[in-house]
Amino acid sequence: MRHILLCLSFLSTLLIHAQVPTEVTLQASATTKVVLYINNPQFVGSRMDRVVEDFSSTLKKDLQNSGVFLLSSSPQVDKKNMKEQGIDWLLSYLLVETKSGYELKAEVTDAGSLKIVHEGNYQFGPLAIHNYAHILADDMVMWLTGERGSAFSKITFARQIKPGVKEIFQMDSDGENISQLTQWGSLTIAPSVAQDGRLLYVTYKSGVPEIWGQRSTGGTHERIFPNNPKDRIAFCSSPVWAPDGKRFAFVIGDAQGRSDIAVFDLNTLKVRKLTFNEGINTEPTWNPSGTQLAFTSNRGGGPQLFLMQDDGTNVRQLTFDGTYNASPSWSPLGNMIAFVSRFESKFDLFIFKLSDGKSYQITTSVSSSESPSWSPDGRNLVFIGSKSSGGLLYRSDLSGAIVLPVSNLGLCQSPVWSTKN
Amino acid sequence: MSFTRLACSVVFSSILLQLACNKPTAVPVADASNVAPVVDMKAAQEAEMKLKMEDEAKQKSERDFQDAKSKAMASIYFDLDRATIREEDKSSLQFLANFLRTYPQIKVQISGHADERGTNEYNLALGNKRASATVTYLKGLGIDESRLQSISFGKEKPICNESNEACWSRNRRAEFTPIN
Repeated sequence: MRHILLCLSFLSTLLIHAQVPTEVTLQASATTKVVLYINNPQFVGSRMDRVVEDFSSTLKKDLQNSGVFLLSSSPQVDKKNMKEQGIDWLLSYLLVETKSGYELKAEVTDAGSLKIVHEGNYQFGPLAIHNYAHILADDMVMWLTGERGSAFSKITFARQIKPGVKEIFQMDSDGENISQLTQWGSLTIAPSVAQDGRLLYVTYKSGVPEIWGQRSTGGTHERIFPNNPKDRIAFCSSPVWAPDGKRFAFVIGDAQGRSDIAVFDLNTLKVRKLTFNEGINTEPTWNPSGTQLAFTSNRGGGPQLFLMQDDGTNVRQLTFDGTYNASPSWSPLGNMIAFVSRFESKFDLFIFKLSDGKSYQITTSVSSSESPSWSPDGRNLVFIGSKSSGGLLYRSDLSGAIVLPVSNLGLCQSPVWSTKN
Repeated sequence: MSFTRLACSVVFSSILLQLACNKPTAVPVADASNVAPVVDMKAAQEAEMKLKMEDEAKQKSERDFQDAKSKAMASIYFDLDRATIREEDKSSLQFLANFLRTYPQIKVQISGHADERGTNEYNLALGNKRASATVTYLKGLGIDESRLQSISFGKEKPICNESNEACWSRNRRAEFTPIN
């Protein structure tokens, strides 16, 4: 019941704040956080100090990033009077070294009733300590909200290696475990990650843009479009997997300079164009059920956001305010579309709420913010900071009140936040 | 007889004696091809002059070609969010068209670029529009489409990295690269 009330409070605060457009609204996550006190970790085993330290620091970072917990900074707490000290939940956990790795026991005590309301037991190998901190953090979010958190997730992005050369990279959503996924030594950009982890991207390795990626989970990277390398395409960009992973939307250009949204079917190898409009149609993004696409088009003059069915019908314009609205990203729950709006040469993040047809500003124009992508739980956005920030990845909750760098890795672009498989 | 005259007589006599006693040996003869007959000297000089002039003409032709190529491959520029060929760039494209007519073996890659103020993906589409607009204009000047290849790099390959209009205007461009 308490969880339902918290969720309702969260949603109602969203709605209340969402009535005033173009202000920093949607502050629910900042106002309804559960205050969590974490007991000093208990552990059994030799040489556990480093393991416990790694686990604890990862867990704290995940819970802070979750957008639903506020960690109590009290050095000590009177466990009989936690509620009076502003604490909602108490987390205690025990790490035990086993023959094959570690065992973790965690329990959550409600500060009001002083009863254990959630507990979990985990067993894991010695190399997965960060991942299991992520899993516990996501379970904590699940216990509180009924939906898993995004700690056990990853961010894929393009990054400049040297002038003219970019490659695709991936990291955990807390900025750890950075790995390079492509090594083409060419301009390689615009990654998309399917729900089963398959990668898709654009590379200029053959001298012209082509869409490469994985046809099967864990498979080798191969050319996907065009099928035949002799079929020289004037232009292609922005591949985005459909939620079913069987097709992807992308942008195909012609010699007349038009660029249209199309869908490529991996089974039939056929391309179906969805737009036939003069000018620019680009940046497709799917709704969670794969029945609609939002995209950017300049058919009315400057770039604005549009919506259409996945067969290209029922096209309608979403945004009208401002002269440059672009880079749409559909939320995992399907009710919002994040995008960027340009004002005085800088971009700010906005959210378009489909329920009321209004836009709400997330970041202010202190610096430019580009290429938003939703966390899998829909509570946060990752985006690229301004060039002056060196192309760092940032994350923000939906209030825009908490904006933090994901890592100190610079020269990044086009982040995509996805679940971890 | 002075000592000098005596010495000369002795040396002369000994040379005569040696020549008389030695077996006949082949006297080295200069290779005829290395020594131009006196009567052909003028023709040789003229040939050399002709070769030199031809070489100079070739070098000048190469210089002229390189100069023309450099001028023909000069970038053209676009207004913000636009892909329309500017009036001031039309003479550049006419020069490029003339160059391509003069050197029919040359093909050109036309790459469209944008400044940093658009999104990555929108700018790729805008770069495609700029490259295509340039191709269309050159086709209008009589250049066969098969000699023109368009490509877009959007804002991926800036030539200037500052955030001001002077820099942005240099990045909003179409670049020309010859393909032999």
